[in-house]
Amino acid sequence: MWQLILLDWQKHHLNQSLRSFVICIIVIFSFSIFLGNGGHSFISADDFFTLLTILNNITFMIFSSTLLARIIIREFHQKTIQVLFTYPIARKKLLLSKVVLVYVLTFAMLSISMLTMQLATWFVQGTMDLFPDYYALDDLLRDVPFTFTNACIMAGIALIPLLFGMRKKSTATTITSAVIISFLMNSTISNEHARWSLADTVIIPIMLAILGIGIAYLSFRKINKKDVV
Amino acid sequence: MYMVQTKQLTKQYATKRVVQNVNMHVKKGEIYGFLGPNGAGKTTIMKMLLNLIKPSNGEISINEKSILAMDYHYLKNIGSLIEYPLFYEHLTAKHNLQLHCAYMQFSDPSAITQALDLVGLTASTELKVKEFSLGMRQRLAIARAIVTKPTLLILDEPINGLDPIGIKDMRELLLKLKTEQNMTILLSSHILSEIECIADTIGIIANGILIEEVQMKAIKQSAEKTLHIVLDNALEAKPLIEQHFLCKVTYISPTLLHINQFLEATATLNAFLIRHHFAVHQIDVHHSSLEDYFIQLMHGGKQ
Repeated sequence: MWQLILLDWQKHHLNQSLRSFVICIIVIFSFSIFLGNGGHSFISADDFFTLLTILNNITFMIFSSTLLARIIIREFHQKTIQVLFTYPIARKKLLLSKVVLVYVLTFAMLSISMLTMQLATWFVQGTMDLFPDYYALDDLLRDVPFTFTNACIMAGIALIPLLFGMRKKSTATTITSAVIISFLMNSTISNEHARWSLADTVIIPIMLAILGIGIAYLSFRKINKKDVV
Repeated sequence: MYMVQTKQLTKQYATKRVVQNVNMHVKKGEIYGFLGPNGAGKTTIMKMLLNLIKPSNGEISINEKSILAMDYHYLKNIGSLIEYPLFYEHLTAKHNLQLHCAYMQFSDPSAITQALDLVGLTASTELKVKEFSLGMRQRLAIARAIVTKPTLLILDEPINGLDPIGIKDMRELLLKLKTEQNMTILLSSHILSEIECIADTIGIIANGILIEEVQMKAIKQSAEKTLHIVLDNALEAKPLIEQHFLCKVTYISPTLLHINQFLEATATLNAFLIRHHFAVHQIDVHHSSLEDYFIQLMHGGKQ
């Protein structure tokens, strides 16, 4: 499995995605600061972090769908999957390793990006005065568990576009459905005044993540019986 | 004994039967040529052997083991090229082969250079596949099929897009693989002359039906020979020849006669005709080729 994941990493030049990842963080953070610059546009630290979380989730869920498109959908679209299926490896294992790769990458991007931005906030808050509250290192550490559970759920949900993309083997469908799903998911958070309360419990986020993974599995459930034409 | 054997192999799509009750037998260590027009079902059969397409009915056994729909371990010993040569376009030729070896769990670093050398791509190893022409892709696909030294090679239209020299190289390469590495090779083509000169056994297929499996040797032996005589006044010559040589002569046109026996004594025949004042322009022995045999079978298949 590890071997297969490594091969996919090399094959799809995922090193190049690191640069896009860094650019995404910079853009999200500068955009948020720009909104809050000059006067207190944000009522509180929570208000500011809600914005960051929403932008972070939306960005990396869409990023994740481009990875799905690149690693899975394009293999079907360009028919290279036909070559993959002539290898002495179970088809499900091949596809599962790809899904695991996307999940882990998305999880890592969501959490690393959020942690980086929290740290950056802590640095700039003193000089830029983005919100009225004082933001201490303790506050930052308090948010860490939330960041991870959020990343865990969102990475799971980010796999749902695979189901739509696999029907037509289309990159466009995958990314479009990711845009719709990510906006739907994150608009519900912003309507609540409190920050995502579901994340306070452990079971629900895990269930949501499993739901996303389960839906992703549906897209290749019958792959062993299918003709590859 | 048999490397590949199928029993009543059938593939049916909703409305159409693309492969019907095929019983094919590929012996170990031979070159088996699939011959048939486009859309005859050659590719479908090959894909079924690789389990890419699941048979609707029938059995497949490879190396004496029957293959089930979920099996994949047997693929380790098979090298294949199906339809269009597919690669990761943004990777180099060498990288593509490295990936292939990694997925095949085959580790011999020198094998890649060897394979590229065998197909004549040594100069292009570091080029990206998207810069390749169709002929080069085809060569690379064959390199990929043979790099892991499989025991069975399945090649669908391997000479597609190759230039005449490439075709000749390919022919020599396949014969070399057969003799030196004892590979069993199953290849398909719609070009007769290509199969004719390398295959040991030919499976003729049309409309999804395997019409006949024949040994090349048998065809060569049974190939009919006819004597074609071009002369003036064929009508008068016919009874004379029949009387004198006691053979059956077919009258084709006023200047052409065909004789089915009596092929060795062309000189005697010539002398005889000249003695009787016939102007003989040409006498030659005509071999019926595989092409005639093939066309004959095709027509038989249609009736």
